Amino acid sequence: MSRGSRELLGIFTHLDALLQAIHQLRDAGYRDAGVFSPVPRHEVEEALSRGPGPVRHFTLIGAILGATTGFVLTIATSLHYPLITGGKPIVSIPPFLVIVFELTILFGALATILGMLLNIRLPRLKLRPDYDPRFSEDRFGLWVRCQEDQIEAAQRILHSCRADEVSMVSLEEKRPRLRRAGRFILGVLVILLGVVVALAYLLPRLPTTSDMARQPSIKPQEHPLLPPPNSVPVQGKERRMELLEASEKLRNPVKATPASVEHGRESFQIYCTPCHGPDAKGKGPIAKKLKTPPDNLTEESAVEQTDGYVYTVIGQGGTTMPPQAEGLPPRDRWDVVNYLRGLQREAGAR
Amino acid sequence: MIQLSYSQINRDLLKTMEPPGKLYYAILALDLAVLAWGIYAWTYQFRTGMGVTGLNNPVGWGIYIATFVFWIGIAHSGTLISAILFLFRCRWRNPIYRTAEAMTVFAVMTAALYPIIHLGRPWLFYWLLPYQQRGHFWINFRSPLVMDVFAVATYFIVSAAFFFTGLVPDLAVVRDKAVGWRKRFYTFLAQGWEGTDREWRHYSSAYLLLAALATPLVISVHSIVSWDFALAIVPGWHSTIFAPYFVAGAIHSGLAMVLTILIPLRRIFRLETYITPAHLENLAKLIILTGLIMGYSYGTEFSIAWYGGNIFEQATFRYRAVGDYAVAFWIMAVANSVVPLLFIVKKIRMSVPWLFGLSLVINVGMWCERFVIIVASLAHDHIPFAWGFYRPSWVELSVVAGTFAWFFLWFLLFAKFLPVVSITEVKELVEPPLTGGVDP
Repeated sequence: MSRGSRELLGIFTHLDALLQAIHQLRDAGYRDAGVFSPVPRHEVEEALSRGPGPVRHFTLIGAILGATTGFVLTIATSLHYPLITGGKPIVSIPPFLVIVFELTILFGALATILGMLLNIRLPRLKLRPDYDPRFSEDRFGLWVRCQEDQIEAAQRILHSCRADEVSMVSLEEKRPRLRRAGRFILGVLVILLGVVVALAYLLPRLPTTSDMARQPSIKPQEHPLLPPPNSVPVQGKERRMELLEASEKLRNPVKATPASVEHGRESFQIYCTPCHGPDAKGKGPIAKKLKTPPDNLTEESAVEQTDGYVYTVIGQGGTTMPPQAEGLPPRDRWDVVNYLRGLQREAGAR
Repeated sequence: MIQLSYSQINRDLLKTMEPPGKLYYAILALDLAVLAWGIYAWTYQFRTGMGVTGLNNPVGWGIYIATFVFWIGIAHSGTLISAILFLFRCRWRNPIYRTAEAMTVFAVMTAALYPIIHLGRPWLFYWLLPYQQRGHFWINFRSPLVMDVFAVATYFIVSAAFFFTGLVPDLAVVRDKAVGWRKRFYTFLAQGWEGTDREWRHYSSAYLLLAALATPLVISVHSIVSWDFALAIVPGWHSTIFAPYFVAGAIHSGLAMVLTILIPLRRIFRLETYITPAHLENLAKLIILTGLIMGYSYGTEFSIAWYGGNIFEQATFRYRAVGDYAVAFWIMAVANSVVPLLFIVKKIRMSVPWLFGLSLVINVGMWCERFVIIVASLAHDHIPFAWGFYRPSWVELSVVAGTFAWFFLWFLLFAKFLPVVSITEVKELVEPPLTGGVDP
């Protein structure tokens, strides 16, 4: 704006009056004009003959940049760190496209925000001198810049279009405000950069556990830290017992209720049937493939053993039988014993 | 909407920000107490380890992950209302979109807590970022869990930016009416908004573009969350229907949550003029649609299991319907696909108490759906050897309750610090002030 230009501000209550004033001013040759309004109105944009703005170019560039970043990040780093996972090629485009897609959206959206802020010179903390708080409520403002000699004509137009108020605004403060906004943005950027640098420095130095020696429990002369209750996959560690000791000491704590026997039957079918067979006579489907045939559990020698003995054999395994403790927690093993006793009774009765 | 003047709209909608009464502080105190209890439970888990949860072999994903999926889903309908309905020019969305979008942002903030809570060593959560760690690890971009990090982070950033962009003109309204410290606070938040034609022009195009970017984003986010499951070979998970099924479920649960939140809000703040029964009815109609999609998806899953001839798939679905988690399954099936059909009856969808009650039922149903999908499949997968049973411990339940309190804490603050109904967009709905045809 040239020296000696002034700004006139008209405040309107009615939208149609405002539009009329814009048209008349433009017809009279005033180009440097603008509007304050509480809502966006297409009529105003049309009256001021504004085309589509440049924000969409920011979006496009941001989106392209995001897609490129996505491809480079995934492909280049995977080539640099070639670890085959899931039998997939090092450069696996379909899953990488997901990352590309997300970064396209992310960068596109951030660029849109940036484009908007740059184009409307936000953020700033101080308002223009001609701003009136009523503009955010229900009034429209129309400002127009004009030379000294044009003021009267412009004032006449504003009045004739029923502006509620017409006033002159001094434009002294224009420049420094922009510079302040620039300083503000610069300050934010510097702080952000500082945070990023600090994180890049600090994060790799955070203590990480890279070997087992760093566990506090392993230090010499120190009791190991007890695991919290229920944190060990199976119900705690069981002491290994000699069979003789087990058969004397262990008593079956689980009553042979129908529920226990039924549950024992389920477990027996899963874990025991393959070798011992459904009737426990040692004729399971894979029995004939074994060099040592599985025991017939309905024989006298097996029936005579105590519950504790059978329980321990199930858990720890026998001569060729593998231990089943991992799949069968203690309670389940007792259920199997209860079920097996039933099978033995059946076989003996026959 | 009845004809209101611009200044009337300002007065009515700024009233929601007046100093709150005793009831508000009572609710806030209750909320903070639950949150504190949740934080205590989490620190207990942090100090002792994951053993204090009910998680173990074979169910390694329990209600933490189920609730994560639930909250991400809740977020989705906020974006549906704010972005997708905006693109479709559904103007009825204007009075309700602010609340829905706030719900989106807060729901993502809540959901994002879960993966970290769920980590055995939560202080190493940043290992998920593409950043060179000591020990030379690098993230595996082929893993859906890493895609999740990108998707959820993008979703949070974009929806927060979209939310704040929509807020700025309203913050200027608040700024111009405020006094004292509030004036300084809102002057900062409004970022110098003046409502000039130049500002509106760039703002409108940026808003449109953000809506256009948020729309595909929202669909991608829950699709990616669904791939956390669908890419595994666990029966009941390994299915191509998962992405659309999850997105529809997300919107279903989110719409119910919008109703759950809007109905008390409208009552407490006396916003009946702005949020009319027609708005609630439209939401109910959308719920009928998503409910039908849910019912169809459930049916499809079962028919795939039956027609596909895969015995593991069949066993899993039989287990879901009649096994250990049958109660949750039937709540899910009835609440998500049968209950929404009640809205076909006009009397029910016009009645506020019914809407509120049924929205709560659907919320519960959708939470059960996440639980059933995750837990029931893990408890009984291919190997009978490795079957197990999972029950959440008091720690997990407390942490989940705490995160619900965290969500509502943000909402309570939002209700008093920001305009819950968009002042500017409601003004766009009413006729602008005209001279009434009198030639000046």
